[in-house]
Amino acid sequence: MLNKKILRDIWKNKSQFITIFLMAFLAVFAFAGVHAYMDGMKESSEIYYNNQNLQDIWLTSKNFKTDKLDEIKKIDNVKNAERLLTINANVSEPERFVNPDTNKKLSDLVIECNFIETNEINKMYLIEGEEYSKEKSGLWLDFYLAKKLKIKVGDELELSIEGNSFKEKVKGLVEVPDHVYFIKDDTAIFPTHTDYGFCYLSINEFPNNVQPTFPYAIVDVNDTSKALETKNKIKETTNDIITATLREDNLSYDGYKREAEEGETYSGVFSGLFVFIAILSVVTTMNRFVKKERTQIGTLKALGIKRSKITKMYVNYGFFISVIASILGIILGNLLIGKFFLEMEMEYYEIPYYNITTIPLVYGVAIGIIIVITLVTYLSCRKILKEPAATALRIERPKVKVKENSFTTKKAFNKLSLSTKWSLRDIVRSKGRTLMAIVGIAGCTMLVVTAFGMLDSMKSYVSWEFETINNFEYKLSLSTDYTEKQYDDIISKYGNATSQTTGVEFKSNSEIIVKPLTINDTNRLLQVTDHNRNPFTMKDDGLYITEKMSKVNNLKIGDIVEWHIIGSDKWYKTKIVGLNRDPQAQQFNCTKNFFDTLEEEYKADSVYTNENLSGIKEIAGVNTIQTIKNLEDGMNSMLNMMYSLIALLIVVSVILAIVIIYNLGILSFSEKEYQFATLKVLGYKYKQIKKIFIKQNIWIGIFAIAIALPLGNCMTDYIFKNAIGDTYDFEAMIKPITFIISSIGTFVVVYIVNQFLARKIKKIDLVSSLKGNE
Amino acid sequence: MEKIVELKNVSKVYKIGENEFKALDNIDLSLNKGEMIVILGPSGAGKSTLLNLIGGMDTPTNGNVIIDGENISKYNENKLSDYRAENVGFIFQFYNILPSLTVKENVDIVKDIVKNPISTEEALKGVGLFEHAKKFPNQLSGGEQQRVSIARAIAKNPKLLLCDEPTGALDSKTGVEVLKLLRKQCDGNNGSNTVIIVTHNNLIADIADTVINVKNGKIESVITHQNPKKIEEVEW
Repeated sequence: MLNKKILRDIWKNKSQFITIFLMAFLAVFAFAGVHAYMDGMKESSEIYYNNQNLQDIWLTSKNFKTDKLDEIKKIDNVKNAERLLTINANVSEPERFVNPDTNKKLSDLVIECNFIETNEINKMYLIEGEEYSKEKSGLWLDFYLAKKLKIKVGDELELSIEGNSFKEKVKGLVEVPDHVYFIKDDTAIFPTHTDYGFCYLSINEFPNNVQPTFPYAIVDVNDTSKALETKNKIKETTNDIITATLREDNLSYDGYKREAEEGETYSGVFSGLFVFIAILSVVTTMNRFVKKERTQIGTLKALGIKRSKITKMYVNYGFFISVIASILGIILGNLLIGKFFLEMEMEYYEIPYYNITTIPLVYGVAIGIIIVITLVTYLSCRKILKEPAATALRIERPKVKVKENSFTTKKAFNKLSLSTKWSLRDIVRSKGRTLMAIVGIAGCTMLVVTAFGMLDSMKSYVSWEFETINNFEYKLSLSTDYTEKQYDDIISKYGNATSQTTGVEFKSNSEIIVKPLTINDTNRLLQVTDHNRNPFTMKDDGLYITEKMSKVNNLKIGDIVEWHIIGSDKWYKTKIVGLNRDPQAQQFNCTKNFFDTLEEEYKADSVYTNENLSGIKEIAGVNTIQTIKNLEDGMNSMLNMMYSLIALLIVVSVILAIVIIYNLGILSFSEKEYQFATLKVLGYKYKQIKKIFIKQNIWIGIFAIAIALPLGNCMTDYIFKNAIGDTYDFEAMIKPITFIISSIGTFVVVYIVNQFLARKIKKIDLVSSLKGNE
Repeated sequence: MEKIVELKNVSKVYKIGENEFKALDNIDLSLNKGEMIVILGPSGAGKSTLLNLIGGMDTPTNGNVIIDGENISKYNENKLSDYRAENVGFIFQFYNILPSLTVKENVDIVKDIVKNPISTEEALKGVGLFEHAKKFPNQLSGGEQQRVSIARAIAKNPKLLLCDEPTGALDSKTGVEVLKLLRKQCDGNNGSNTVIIVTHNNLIADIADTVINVKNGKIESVITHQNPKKIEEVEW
């Protein structure tokens, strides 16, 4: 019989139960969904790396000859080692291909060629075509590039490496585990897969007239926990190792990992906030519902039904609703948010097989929500059940505590209008509901501000990087072995704005840290910026260090840093003469004049120009020609992905805000219904009562919005500072218009929902409302 | 005597699902100005429905409700609000005063809707609560709360004072005090105020000028007392 009551009560109070269901559902939906793709990204990559045997150590040297490779293979814990030659090649007639994003013909197409022998480590994953073999001719092409440019197995490409052209047939389309995150150079952030890709070929295919050397080697170890020891051992025992890096320092491995972890910070913050707001709202609603049932609980008790049975009945309301909401939240969160975003991420990251994952934490949160809702229902019910049946049968009268020092008893207060006095007293009286409303509305506004704020901040970062720092139109990356004549030709044609970036090691406490040093001789085409992002000219008397790096390594202006160029044994002690800020490269900087004082040879690796190079495809001595436009396009691809994420956040925030405001409005209305009925009986008109009802909620809304704006700013800042890691340095830069839009948006939602609720005043049945109160 | 309330062929039918319940069945009734009228009857007889129709809280299914010469049965919601504001003071069994307003503020609220209210001070003095003006309702006894409700009603200076079981929640002594206040309304103001009390308490009927007995939605009898009992003599 009691089960019938449960079902009928749910039906009777459907709007409240739908609210509870929606809030619990949204919280689990957002949390499960975001985690599904984040954790899916992580797990998919781990499986892929294991299956394809991603290398544990990357080595560079002048040339890994056979004996040197054998020497490495003999080192303890080394399972296997392979060598390769990686070099960029220009594809002839790039205009044959169309960039599907812009629908324009390509002006240049560069392919990173990896000439290999065996392929036991970092194995290619064949999507289409035939398996790789050293004896086979042809090339195995980057699947993502092939897909975008519609290159098929069997197509022929003409490649040109430093002036030597050769033709190769595409034998297979592949994905390779160390090319999951693959960008043109470190000025790009997101891969475009349009004008730059990679391929693998047998070393036998290397153009005959050039003598191949193997500057790269990759190493697979038996015990990955000892990879660092093994790396050091390789450096110690093998001559001429220039760099040795572990997975964590690899651009592809680290870039992908960082993307998954970046999301982890904001997903944690966003979904955590959803869960918090939803739980608070559910707690209030459930508490109110059970209180509303007070006389029924008293009646059941008076009839002799056991306390445990009544408790079970009421607890079931909260329990079943939260169970259904949680199950649906996990399923739909995975399928809708998880799959959508994972698919979107995988447009950029090259992983052949991937799937969403649900980690135990998600189940934990769902169970936590069920427990909290059930517990609140139990506690609310228990309180009423403890009372004698006779007391529970009576309606609980609202308590008005009067404090001598309360502002509502002061003289000035008495001069206020009735609706103002009523609203203020009601706010003071219903502290729980008021606080809940403030937290709920502020939380939702904060989410909207943060979502828009992230976009603003990213745009501000793009503007800083591409409008202030990169003050050039083209960047020419020079070949490692350009001739003096080639260099002179380039300089005379395109100007002498050059730079050299080299790896340096410096001592920080007891550690030796590797960081880049850029020797800047670019005549301000590549600018350095100060704390406020304004460009400045570096002095010639020492090293500059980026602000973030100075904080991480506890270095300041005036400190002496001990450092050397990798590959040279000559250590320098140099004073840090200034700090600069860079959004995406934490490193040392200095002028060429300073560098010359060290008597080190300056060998430019990049030339910057504002000359028009649009028709030029190849320049002798130049490896790649990059336009600032292409780099910006890459960034904009990333921003496009952010738009989807932000749209999702805004939609969920707005739904949550509507649900919370509506729910609290309903609670507020039902508490005051008999008072409104009294006013109506006295002769108050609809508009007058509506004014009283709406005034309070509008105040709460405005107050909540006011506190949400700075909180949204702090949250965006927190996300950037915590999610982006030590490589990046940019903070929340939210435009005033964003605050205005978010405030107006939330206010409109508050206003519309309250207008909608106020219509209930018209429908108050005077007779039954006043009788009901009796 | 001048008529204040006239009901002509008034019926009120409530629909409960597919069933119909006739709360009032074709009633004709006339009430005189300045009288204390008691509507008497058992539970479900239709007495509160009658009061609600007179007070403009509800509209009849059929018939006309004429108050002081104005037919209010066809009034829309807005006009009914005006009618209630200017003409009617309500007193309920459970007082229906607003818990978040002080005694004074509970009376003050009528100032926003009535053109010629009497002063709050006067109203509160009239019910003997002036010294409690700054208190909140939950700091008062039941009888005092009912007196606040009377003060609020009389502050409107209404033509009609409608009381639904005004002593129902009070003990005999406090109830008598409340009835005295109500009687005062009829006797004061040149005898132009009419008080209508709905009750199932037969003893209260003795103090009324006119007693209307209602049963099964019909007027069973209308009794006029030439010499109503003094309120001090009533006890229950």
